Amino acid sequence: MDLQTIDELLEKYWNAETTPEEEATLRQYFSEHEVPRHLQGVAQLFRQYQADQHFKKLDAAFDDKVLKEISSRKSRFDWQPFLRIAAVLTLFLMAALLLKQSLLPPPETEQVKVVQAEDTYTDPRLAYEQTKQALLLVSSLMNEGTQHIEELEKFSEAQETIKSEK
Amino acid sequence: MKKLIVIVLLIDLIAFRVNAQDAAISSMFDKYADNEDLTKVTITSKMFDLFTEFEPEDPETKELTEAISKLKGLKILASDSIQNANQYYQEAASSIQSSNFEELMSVRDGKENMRFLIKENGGKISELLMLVGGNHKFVALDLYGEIDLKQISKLSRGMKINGMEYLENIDKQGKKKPAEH
Amino acid sequence: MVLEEFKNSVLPVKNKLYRFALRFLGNEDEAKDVVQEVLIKAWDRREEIQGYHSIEAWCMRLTKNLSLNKLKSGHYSRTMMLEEEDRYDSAQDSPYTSTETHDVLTNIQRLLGRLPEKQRLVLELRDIEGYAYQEISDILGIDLNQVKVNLFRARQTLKKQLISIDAYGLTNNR
Repeated sequence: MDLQTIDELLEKYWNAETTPEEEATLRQYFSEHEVPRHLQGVAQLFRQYQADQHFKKLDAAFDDKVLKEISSRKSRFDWQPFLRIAAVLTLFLMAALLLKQSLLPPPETEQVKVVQAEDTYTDPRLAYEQTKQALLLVSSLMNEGTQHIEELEKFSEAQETIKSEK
Repeated sequence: MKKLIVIVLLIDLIAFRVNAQDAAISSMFDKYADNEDLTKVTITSKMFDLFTEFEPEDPETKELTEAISKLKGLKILASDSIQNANQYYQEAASSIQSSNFEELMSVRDGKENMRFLIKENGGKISELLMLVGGNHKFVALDLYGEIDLKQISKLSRGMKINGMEYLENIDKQGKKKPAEH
Repeated sequence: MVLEEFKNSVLPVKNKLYRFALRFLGNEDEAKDVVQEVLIKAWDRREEIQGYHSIEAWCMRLTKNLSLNKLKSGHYSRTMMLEEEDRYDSAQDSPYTSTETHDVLTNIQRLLGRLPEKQRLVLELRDIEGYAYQEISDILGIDLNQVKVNLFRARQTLKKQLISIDAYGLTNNR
């Protein structure tokens, strides 16, 4: 690249008319070439730019520090909802367990005692008989009740008939 | 914390709905636990489990056994000779107001009142409460489990019986063998 | 965004961020802290910034804001800046910086340091970091025209100064 081109590019550069590509050309030129005296200062400017780029850097130790911080956050971020669900589930289980204990009959050893305490009958046959009676009672009373209703229906039907006959 | 309470309540509701007798009814029966005037009958699911061991003796009772096999519990409070039968009836009726029973049928026959209340769960009847009151008679009968009304209604049809005779039966039996608590 | 993507697309911007922070703060440790904060914030908000046109520009803006906040918050800033100035001023007399090259480099650093802040930032973002005008406009939050005007003025100033160095400084030393 001849000096005249560089001079022209530089003029464009000073006027802020260069494209990024042209600026890259200039940077490359000044980093690779010995330059005439009148361009020494300009060359230093471009070399300063490159030096800044090369020497002001963060090392791998910095990366490690950041990544470590991030992965600790990552695990916190990912686990939080699961922990919440787990907590709720635990509560659920605990509550269910408590309820189950209060609802279900206690373990085998106390069973006989409990049956005596809760059930009116210890003999299943008696209990069965009683249940039978109870069901029959419900059944017959229910039928008596529906009979009333049927009678009412008949009555209202009769009324309807009288009305319609009028 | 609020969430926790809501969850526990929710579990409560679900659990009681599926497995147990209505809380209001339960407390009503507990209330009369020490009342000497009333006959108390309690048959638990444990006992119902034992019923499955009997074979139906004859075909006539087959339907009955079938109805019984679906039940999980039975509680009866009854008397046919108390002065303030109506008061008991009113008390029982008001104590179930807070619970979510639906009225199936209510009959006023002269001096006697009769109410059938049911609780539905997923299209099936899970609890049936029958209250009878008046004329020295009081019955509170609570059935829970799977209840088929048609089946129950059929039970007595062929038998030509008067329901109240059975009440007397229960009463005698109850007195012969008083509740053991 | 997974950690691998972050490592490949965001983390490499760290040096640009670092230099940018350094331009405001003039102190390496403080600049490092700012960059770390920026990267961690970028990670925390990765879902949000992923859709952005340029994550890099977002990081640069955040670097600027955090650096300015730091400057505002502490009295350290002023003393640090003064120390930096002192270092540049005394550089010429220091035995370690007496070689010709380094001498001139510090001269250039001083030239850059004397530019008005906005001009210097625009110039450095363009000439050191290689950003397009639009990107500079995004990063600094100034309009495109402002970017061009400031760049033009900065380069014009440098041109005058450098020509005078070429005319006197260096020729004298040779």
